This record gives sequence, structure tokens and C-alpha cells, in this order.
Amino acid sequence: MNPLDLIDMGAATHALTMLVSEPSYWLVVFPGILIGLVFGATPGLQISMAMAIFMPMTLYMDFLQAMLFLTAIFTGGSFGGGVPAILMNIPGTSSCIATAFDGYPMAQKGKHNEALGLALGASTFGVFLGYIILFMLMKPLSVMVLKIGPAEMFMVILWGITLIASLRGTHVLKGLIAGFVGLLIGTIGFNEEGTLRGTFGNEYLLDGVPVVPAMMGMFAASELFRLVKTNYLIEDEASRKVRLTLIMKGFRDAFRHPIIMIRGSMIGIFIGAVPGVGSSVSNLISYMETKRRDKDPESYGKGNPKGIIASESANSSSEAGSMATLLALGIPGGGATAVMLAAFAMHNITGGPQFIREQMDVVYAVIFANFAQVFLLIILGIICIPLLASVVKIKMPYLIPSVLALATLGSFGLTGNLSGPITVLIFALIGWFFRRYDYSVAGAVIGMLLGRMAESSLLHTYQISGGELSYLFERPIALAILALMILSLFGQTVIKKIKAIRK
Amino acid sequence: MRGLSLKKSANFGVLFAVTLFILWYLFDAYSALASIENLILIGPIAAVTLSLCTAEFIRYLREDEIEDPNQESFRDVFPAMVIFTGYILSLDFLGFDLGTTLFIAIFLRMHGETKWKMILIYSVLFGFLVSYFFSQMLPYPMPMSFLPTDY
Repeated sequence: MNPLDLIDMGAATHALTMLVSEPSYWLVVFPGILIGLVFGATPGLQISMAMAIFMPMTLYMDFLQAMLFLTAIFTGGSFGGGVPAILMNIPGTSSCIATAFDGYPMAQKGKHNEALGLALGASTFGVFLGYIILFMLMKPLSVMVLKIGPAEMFMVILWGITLIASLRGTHVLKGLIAGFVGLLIGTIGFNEEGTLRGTFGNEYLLDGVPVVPAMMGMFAASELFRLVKTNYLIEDEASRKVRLTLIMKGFRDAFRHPIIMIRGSMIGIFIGAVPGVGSSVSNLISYMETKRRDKDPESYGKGNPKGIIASESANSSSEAGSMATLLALGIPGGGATAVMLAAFAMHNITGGPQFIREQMDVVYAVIFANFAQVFLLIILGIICIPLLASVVKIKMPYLIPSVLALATLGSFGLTGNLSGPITVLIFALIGWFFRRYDYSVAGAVIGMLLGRMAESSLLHTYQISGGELSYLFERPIALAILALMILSLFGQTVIKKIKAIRK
Repeated sequence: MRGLSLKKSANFGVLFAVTLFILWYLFDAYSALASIENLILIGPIAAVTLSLCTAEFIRYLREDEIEDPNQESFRDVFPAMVIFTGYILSLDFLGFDLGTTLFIAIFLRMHGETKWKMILIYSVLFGFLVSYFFSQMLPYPMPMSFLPTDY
């Protein structure tokens, strides 16, 4: 089959003509990326929040311009979220969790410049490759996503959690406990059947624990408590310098690992296309895969640059994956694409097969504009990184309360009442105990993020199958994911035992 | 009988708290509605997690825990936890502007900053500017003492 058959050449030409003939489309891209960078890089502010705040502005734009503006915020934010993950161990978004695993240890070693450069390089590559794949595979991907049912979704969720657990190395049991406790916390509140569980009679918990404030507490506040006795994020004064040459070196270094970036981007786009799971899981799967295939897996979590590349390439390409689901099926993959869906509605447009069939030129124009956004992101990223990286020069007694206050204000912004700040506080304390006694904080957070969806997926599977276990054998994708999950949990132990027996 | 190390006791404490939470949540969900639909995820996950907790408990009994001397102690972080708790719980009546200013000022003083002028300027500037920024960006009213609000 000729690959060009997958592309509607007429629509592609029309899309290019639209973008070139109307310069006003480009006016919104620059501020969009900047907004995304600032919101992504500020602990407590989310990409979806930025998009929601600025969405009313799109009322004064036509549909294509609105899409360019919102995807620009998305692109800027997907890189911006990695900045606090590297500098403060605070993933700006759930999609940057794995970035913090090696990014923060690198920053602590004084390699923050290189780490930020690596993240920028991998992010831009991820966005670029993601949109190329989206361009090429828009039609087949939309068919494939339809084959993902609740059984497959449940398996992907469980896989994500077990991956986190197996990351803990010597504390696999504690990792699993943390992940499953997170999963249980994620189900607090009303279930789909209208039954109320675990709320202590508190009305704020009817819709469940506010997950993002809980994440901010578990990751950020608990880590900041740990640092109260330190003077600077990086103790060595010489290492605290922000150098553009080192950032550029990191940027170039990312391209020395093309396989990791391509693999991460592929994982990102395919997992990103699964509604609701998206970049929260893709960065972890990419990280785990890279670690599993590496000759020195023990170096991960201690500042291995490949960990950042794996995570950032996957979370950035997830944007294209979630856009595929949104455009092709009209289903949002996460918070950011949910806001985009609202923007669709504001312009009286419904995503789905009909939209693709009738407005393929607009879809291609969004994709082409994102290629250009990649280059703008490189320029803006390089300009902004030195400013953002200056955080390492701030004394910890100033940095700690400032970030805690930012997280508190941000959590209020997410919930609209004081339940957000209180959630940050409670989960900060839980997070500190978990971290101190080797329970996986990341596992617990991922569990909380996915708990509700795991329950609905399992319930839907039960309803579809009528409780028959044999239904699973009719779902080859679900079985394949199950096999991968078992492999990721027990694979290394089995291989080690086989090697020991052979010796 | 050999006494438990501090690390081991704390580990037991955390594991015990986790186990209690799982048992309570399972009981609460079961009391709410004892149906397959309600317990389809909670039941199996709680059962698996309780088994894992038991396995971890047995591991604690059999293996010695080695204390990492570089890890911070509870005594080190306790004051920071107390100030942060006070900050969050006082937001409703102090508001974000005054609450944030006081939180930062107290934190700075307690963690070695001796220059009063610096403490005052930084905490007031940060507390009021950031609160003002968020109040302008967010669509709902925020509790404030001095800045304008509809809260």
C-alpha cells in the first residue's frame, strides 16, 4: 500500500494555503506557547487550567485560530511541566512524573542546565514526531482506537501501576501497596451506580479526593519538608550557575539517543490516544521500557539523562495521540483535550469521523501549524529556561514557603474552595511518611489519578461480559497487555534466576 | 527479646496505618452496598493489598532495617509541618494575602533569616503580589484580609 494513500493531498494543499495566506493565524501561537510555558512551569498551575482561563478569548477567533492558540498552550505546557520536575522534584503535570525520577537527581548534582536542555530536546522531538505520525496515521489510528474497550483500558491502568511498583527495585512490595492504596483512594466518593463510599460524611469528597491538589501535596510539599535543613537546592555554589552553553549541550545530547526518543514518541502517541489514560501513563511506560532495555538499569533514578529523554519524548508526543482521539472520535484524552472539546462546542463543531471527513483541511492545518510550533518552542524554551532555572540560586528558606504558598493558591484555583489547600496539607503529610519509609509516592499518585477510571472500566467489562471470564480470551489486546504486565513484574527476577541456575 | 529499632517501629506504624485504612475503607464500602457492582474493584484490590501488607509485615520480622544516616528525622521536619498546617487552617479567616505573608515571614525567621527588613519586604511583596495575581486569574472569590474580594 502506498503511504501517500493515507493522506488526503487536496486537503493538505488547502491547509497549507490557509496557513500561508492568513498571517493572523500565527499571531496567537507565540503568546499561546508562552502561556503554556509559564503555567506548566509554575507549580500548582495546570495546562488545562491555562486553556480554561484563556478559552473565552477564542470566542473572538475563528475555529482554526482557536485550535492553534489552544494547541500552542498545550505544546508550551507539555515542556513547561518538566521544568519544576527537574528543578524542584515537582512534576508540573502528571505527565512529567517520570521526568522527575532522573531530572531532579541531575539537578541536585549541579547538572540542571543539561537536564533542562535534554528535556527541551526530547520534548520538541516528541511533539514533532507525534504530529508527523498523526499526519500519516490519522485515519488508521482512529479505527484502532475504536478497538480499545473497557477491558483493554483496565489492563493499561493496571500495567501503569505495576510498572511504577517495579520501579522501586528493592521495595517492590511497598511500591505495589502504595499503588493499590492510591487506586482505592481514587475510588472514594460516588461510584457510577450512585453508591457513596469513604467520604467520612464530608460533602467535599462526594466527587472524590481532588486528585491534582493531592498530587501537589504528595510530590511537592512532602519533598519540600524533606529539604528544610538544606541551604540550597544544589549545595555546591559553582554548580548553581545557569549556563546557556550547557543547556544547548543538553539539547544536542538528547539527539544522541534517537532510539530512546523514537521509542518514547511511539509509546506516547499510542498510549496518548487511549482516552483518559494518555500522558499520565505513557511517560512511565516509556521510562520503564528504557530502563528495562538499558545495560545499566541501576543508574536510573540517580540522574541518568536517558530517563529524562524517555519521559519527555513520550509525554510530548502524547499531545498528538490525544488530539487524534479528540479529532477522530470527539473523545477527550484528558483535562487539556476536554477544554479543547469545549472550544469545539463554542464554535458549533463536533469532533468525530464526520468532522474528519468534511474538514480534513482544518485538521491538517492544525497538524502543520504544530510543526512550526516545535521551532517556536525551541526558541522560546531557550530564551525562558535561564530565567526558570534561576530557581536553583534561591535560598531554601525562601524557596520552600514560596513554593508551598504557590501550591496552596494553585490548589484553591483547582477546587474553588478551601478543600484544595486542605487536600494539599493532608497529602503532604502522607507523602512525607510514604517517602521517608520507602513507599512509592509516584505509585500512589498514579493510583489516585486512575482509580475512578479503573473502577468504571472493570464495571463496564463486567457488564459487557455478563461476568464470564472467557470474555477476556476474546480480547487479544487485553491479553497482550496482561502478558506485558506480568513480564514487567516478574521478568527480571525470572531472568536472574535462570542465569543463576545456568552458572 | 530484642528491642525494635526506631526505623523498624516507624515502619510498623506506617504499615499498620495503611492496613487500618484499607480495612476501614473495605468495611465502609461493604456497608454502603454489598453488591458486585460496588465492590468490583475495591474488594479484589483491598484483598490483594492486605495480602501484600501481611507479606511486608513478615519481611519486617525477618529482616533488619538499616537506618540511612543522611535521611531527615521527624524532629527536623515537624516545625515546618506545624507552620504549614497553621497556614492552611487559618486561610479562611486570615485570607490568602495576610495568611501567605505571615506564613512566609514565620518560616523565614524560624529557618535562620535574621534580617527583619528582608523578612518584611519579601513576605509582604510575595504574599500580596501572588494573592493578587491569583485573584485576577481565577473565576471565583478568594478569602482576603486587605485585597478586594467578594468572598
